[in-house]
Amino acid sequence: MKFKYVKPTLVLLIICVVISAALAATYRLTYVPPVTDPAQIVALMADDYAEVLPGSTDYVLVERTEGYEKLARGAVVERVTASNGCIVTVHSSGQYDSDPIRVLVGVGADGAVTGVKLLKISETPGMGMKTNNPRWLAQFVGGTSFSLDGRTGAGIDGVTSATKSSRAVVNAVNMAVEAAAELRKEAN
Amino acid sequence: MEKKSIWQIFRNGLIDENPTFRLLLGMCAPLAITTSASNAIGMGLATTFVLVCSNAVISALRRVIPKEVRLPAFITIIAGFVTIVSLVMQRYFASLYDSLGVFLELIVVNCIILGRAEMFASKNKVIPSLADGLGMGLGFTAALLIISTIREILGNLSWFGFSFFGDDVSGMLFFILPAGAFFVLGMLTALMNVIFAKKPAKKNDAGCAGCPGASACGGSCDRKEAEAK
Amino acid sequence: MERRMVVTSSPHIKSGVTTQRIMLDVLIALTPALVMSVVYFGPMSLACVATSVGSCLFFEWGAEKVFRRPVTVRDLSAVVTGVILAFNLPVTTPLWIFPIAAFFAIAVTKQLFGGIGQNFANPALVGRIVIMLSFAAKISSYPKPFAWTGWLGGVEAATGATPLAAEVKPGLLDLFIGNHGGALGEVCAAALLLGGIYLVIRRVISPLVPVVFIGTAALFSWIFGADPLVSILSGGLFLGAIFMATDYATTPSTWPGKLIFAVGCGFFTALIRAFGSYPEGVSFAILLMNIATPLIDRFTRQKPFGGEAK
Repeated sequence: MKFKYVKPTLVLLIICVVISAALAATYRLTYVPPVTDPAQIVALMADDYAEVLPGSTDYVLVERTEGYEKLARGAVVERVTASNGCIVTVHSSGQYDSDPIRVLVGVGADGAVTGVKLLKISETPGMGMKTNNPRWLAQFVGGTSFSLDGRTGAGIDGVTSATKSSRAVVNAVNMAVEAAAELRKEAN
Repeated sequence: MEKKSIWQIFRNGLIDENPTFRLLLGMCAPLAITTSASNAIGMGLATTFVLVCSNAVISALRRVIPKEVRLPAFITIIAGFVTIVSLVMQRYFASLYDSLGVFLELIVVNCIILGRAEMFASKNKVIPSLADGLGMGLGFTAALLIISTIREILGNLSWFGFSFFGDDVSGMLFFILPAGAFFVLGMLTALMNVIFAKKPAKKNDAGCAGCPGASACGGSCDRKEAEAK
Repeated sequence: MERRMVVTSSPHIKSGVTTQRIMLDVLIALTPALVMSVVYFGPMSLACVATSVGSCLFFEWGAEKVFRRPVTVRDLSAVVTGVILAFNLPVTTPLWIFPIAAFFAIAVTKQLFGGIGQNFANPALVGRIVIMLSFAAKISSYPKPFAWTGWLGGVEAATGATPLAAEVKPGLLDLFIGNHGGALGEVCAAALLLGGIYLVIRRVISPLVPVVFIGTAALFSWIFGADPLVSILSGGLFLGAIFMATDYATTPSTWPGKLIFAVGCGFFTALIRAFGSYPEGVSFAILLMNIATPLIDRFTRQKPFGGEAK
């Protein structure tokens, strides 16, 4: 009677072992070690940094959250100082809590925003993705505090049908401006 | 039930028993991923790859896997292939990986794959199973492509990300919303059924000839009878 | 040999009531609001209504041809849908939006499900909701009344939000006679009320649903913290309660059912207005109750004459 359980269990076990081996092999082959050397990080990101903070050089990575890729919504994940200001990266929750929007904000020495770029965004095309429009993002340049209804800061026109995503970016930029102000205080 | 040729099996999955419009299997992706044509193609091809591989492996092991553990075994095999696809995509097609998000891992529970494993691959030889997997997968991809084309063009005035009228104009948002997804799916299913529906099988035939599921399982009952004799 | 006896099945008693007659009554009831819409928003409102009606008639004819059904354009139901559809949108709506709305209203909601009497929800309502979801920006510029010029005049750019969204609400009298921004046919509560009274006198509708709907909405608006009188005179409540919530096909058949329906409509209207992100709740409330109607019917089934109650 007991023997009839042996074969099914054995077969299942073998299948699992074989598949696990295949997965391990694939993982080894596709593994890309995360870049941890600050100099390397800065080198990789230099173009993006220059885009949001024009005319900047001498990037110094002040802080970067561990396990950068996967976490932290509503938080500053990276701070970089440059010759004429700072660059802050913020993760912000848009439509989907599982996929935060990664916002790169350049802040000049006077505390005003010089540029905003969305590094990683996976919202619904036609709705949330519409925030990834250079003309929309240009609204932030020159200001120091923003809100969708114009009450607590410079008014930003939200994107129709992308309220959550617009709000996410606005929150991110506000957070970045605050973080930049702190950075400047630390430097002095 | 006469034996189907490889070509017939392939064509079956593509048109006569298109998984989305005729079998109505695996409907999450057609509803969720079809807001942009490029996402849809990516999803469809990933699913096809998993379907073909899992069909092949399950068919090769069909006499080895005992009946009692066939579902856990199928799912483990399918999950293995989905993980492989996921790892490879993360490395080499990062932007597609980002766009698909959580739906990539959900291919594991896509009913088409488990359904075909159960109904076809576990009862047929490897080559026909490959054909079936390819046909069903490409049928699924074609369905996703059609739905996403309609939704993206009407809803976003773009196709494959290429905007017809520039970035500021938006189309009829209804089609991007979930309600629009159901609407487009429903209309297309109705259309496909009107065009391709076969006449229902006559009821008085015994054996596989009178069974509506015969074409799906490949006539296994008749075959078992013939083998038992 | 000539036929001496004719044997047919029931009904054998005919009244003069035809669909066409009922629809004609509804159109007459809608006329005061139509007149007021021209007064407030200019001749453009007639253009809007005409486009809407024309599109509805076209899709009704077209759909019936495609489905090989007899063409019932004569019964004027498409005309009524067209007028109500136009009344739900502001006069600044681009004219090409009306055919799209008409498609979803007539071809999809009505014809695709089997024609008149078979629709699952009020056709004009579905049309309006699809447009609201699709082109929100294009239909949200509500012009102020009397801002129009000329015979074919469009409206000057003086737009204002509807009273529901406005910070400063118009006075009660202004609300009642329609001197405020809003959709074509929803502003003048007085005109709509007049039409409603006409329909009750002509026995086309019963006052139960409109009165209970409006009353429940007033009650719950007050509970949720708004001024009840202002609430019920704002937005499309009168239009919805009198002309859309009384549609025969999409509301329950028994009196208890109709009561539940009307209370549900009023409750959801107030709820969505108070807590939802849309300023107007009438459309969604009625749609929700339309969809719930088969369920309501099931629970309020009358005992068959002589039969056992289940």
